[in-house]
Amino acid sequence: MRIRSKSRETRLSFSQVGLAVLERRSILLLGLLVAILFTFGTTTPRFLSYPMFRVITSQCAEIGLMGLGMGLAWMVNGVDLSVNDTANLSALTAALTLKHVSHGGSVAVGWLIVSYLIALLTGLLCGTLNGILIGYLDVPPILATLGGMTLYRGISIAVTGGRAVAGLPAMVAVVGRGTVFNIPVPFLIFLGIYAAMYLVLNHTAFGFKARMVGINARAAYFSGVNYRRVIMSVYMISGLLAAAAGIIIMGRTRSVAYEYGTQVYIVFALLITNLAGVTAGHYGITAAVLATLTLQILSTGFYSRFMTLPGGPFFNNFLWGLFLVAVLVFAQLLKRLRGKS
Amino acid sequence: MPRLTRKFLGRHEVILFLAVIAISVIIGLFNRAFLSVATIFEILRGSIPYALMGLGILPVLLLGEVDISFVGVAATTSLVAHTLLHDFGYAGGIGGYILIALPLGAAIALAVGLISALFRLPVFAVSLGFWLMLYGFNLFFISPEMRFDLPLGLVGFYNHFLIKVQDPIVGETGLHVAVVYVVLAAVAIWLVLRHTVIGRGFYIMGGNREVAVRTGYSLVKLLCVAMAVNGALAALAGVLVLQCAYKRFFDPILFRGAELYVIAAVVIGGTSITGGRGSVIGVLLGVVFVQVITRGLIYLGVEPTWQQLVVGCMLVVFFILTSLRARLLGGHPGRSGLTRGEGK
Repeated sequence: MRIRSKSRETRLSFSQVGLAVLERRSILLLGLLVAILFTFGTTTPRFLSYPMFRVITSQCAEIGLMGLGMGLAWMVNGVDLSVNDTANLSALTAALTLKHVSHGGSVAVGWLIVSYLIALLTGLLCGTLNGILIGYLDVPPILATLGGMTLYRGISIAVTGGRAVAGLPAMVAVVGRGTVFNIPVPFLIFLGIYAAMYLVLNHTAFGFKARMVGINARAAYFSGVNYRRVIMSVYMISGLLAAAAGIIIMGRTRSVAYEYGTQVYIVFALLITNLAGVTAGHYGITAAVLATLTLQILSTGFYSRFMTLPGGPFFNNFLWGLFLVAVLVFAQLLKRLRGKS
Repeated sequence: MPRLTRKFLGRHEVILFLAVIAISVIIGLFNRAFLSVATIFEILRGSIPYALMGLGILPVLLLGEVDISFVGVAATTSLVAHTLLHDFGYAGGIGGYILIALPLGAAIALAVGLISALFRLPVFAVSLGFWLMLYGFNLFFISPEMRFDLPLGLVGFYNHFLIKVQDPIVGETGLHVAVVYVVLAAVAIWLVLRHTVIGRGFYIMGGNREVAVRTGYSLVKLLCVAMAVNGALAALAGVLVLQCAYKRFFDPILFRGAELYVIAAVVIGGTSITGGRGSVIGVLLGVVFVQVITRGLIYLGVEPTWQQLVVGCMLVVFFILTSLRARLLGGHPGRSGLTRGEGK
């Protein structure tokens, strides 16, 4: 009896070490990141180079910002499926403003900032609508944001007639393609927003309340937290982040289209959330950033691999779908493993 | 009598039916061409695939889950069935297609249901992965192009009518024969939901999971049944739409984006957004409602690019109205925002 319990103890402690590594999501992701970098670095020529670094870091911001918003919603037991369409609609409002005020391909800096503010305001409004539906009207998040998504995409299609808005002033590209000390501006923006989110989540009353609402809304309510307002704020922040992503997309592509990213960006955002191990009331934001980088490296690697193939983009999509299901199942198995010991 | 009248008028389906009539009349006032027998038949014809998919998704929504992979199931099964049959030199009619597509669709959707049930994942997340996978599969592994090489047996199916009428503008038209499938599916689903133990289970499980499990229902079983039905009906819609509605070719991206219209129609049909409430008649009326509005807009001279905006507005307005109504009626205690996520 004694021996048995002892052996069990040792087994437990052994598995606990393993679990501790698995539980430190950031360490796990860092390992994954290095492994993927190594794989592509050794098999794809010129993968570990500055141009590739620039591609990866300037593209990861858009999916990362949407992923951060999705993670926030996920933390309060929700989901924000409208992130991509909020981004496109916000960018569209900015683009139309710029088209209106620019003369011969140039625009004053003041107007550029005004257009960015308009984009952010649009994102905030989209987020507010989602937040009212979910927080105050108790519509299930999946359906509410599915409705929001239909509406925002519908507005984009109706306003543009389904065409892309191109020919924006060259200055918008600063946010999407510019560099500071050889580091792409989108990546710097992403890191800045990461730092701000880290502070808000971990060192403010709002962050604490949001985590409380995620763990147990009823308990939060009885502790005097206005959980409805917290939920609405979460979706408003998600809308703002999506708008920032939209501004970056506009800068990178120098155009705005209603269908930009509509197939895979929601999947990316969900993948970031699940890879980062966001659960109700728990949101490791550093892990989310690492998950974003991992995904972007994987995506760029896939891209350089399959784009030469006929029908490569389709195969890419197929892989992402498979990957999402695999990650969901894996995350759930991990949770179950943790629950057992 | 007044009490009965009030009860009758208070039913969602009745209100929806009256709304369909009223909207049709209003559109007809602006464009007389809308109020014709031919338009009614055209709307019914266009509704067939959506009604089938809507009936399929009803049990899933009743359980309080959302699926979007059914459109991908419809696309994949119809394309696979066509590729297989074409390679064997099949020259028959729709029967061969249904025979292959239906079980295949049920199997794919069952996989989605099993994965979500066994790993306790939201159906939506898994179905999103399958959605992307299925369309990627079609485009990469089968054919990135539309296939116009229909078998001989399907030629003329487009003009196969149950009831024929002569219209001064469009010529001979009528009630398409595929409507029979919708009627059969509707009656079958209605019978199961209304009169079988498992059918009542969908309502109980959606209304209160705890109670349902304690009564002896299994979520895994119910979800699997719901998803299999969902996949089978989507596959049926996939092979029928090619012949009875707009298209006369096999399309690798069939219905991509249509999932929003189907879910919107079912939700507008009075299916509760939290599960546990919804009816077959409501689904059918919801589908017709969306069809009348989207087609009516064309008759009113609105660009088709506005359709999605209108559907989105309808959805959001509908969410607001049902939520306010639930609050006025004092809703189910288990549905308040406070319990959100606790059962997840």
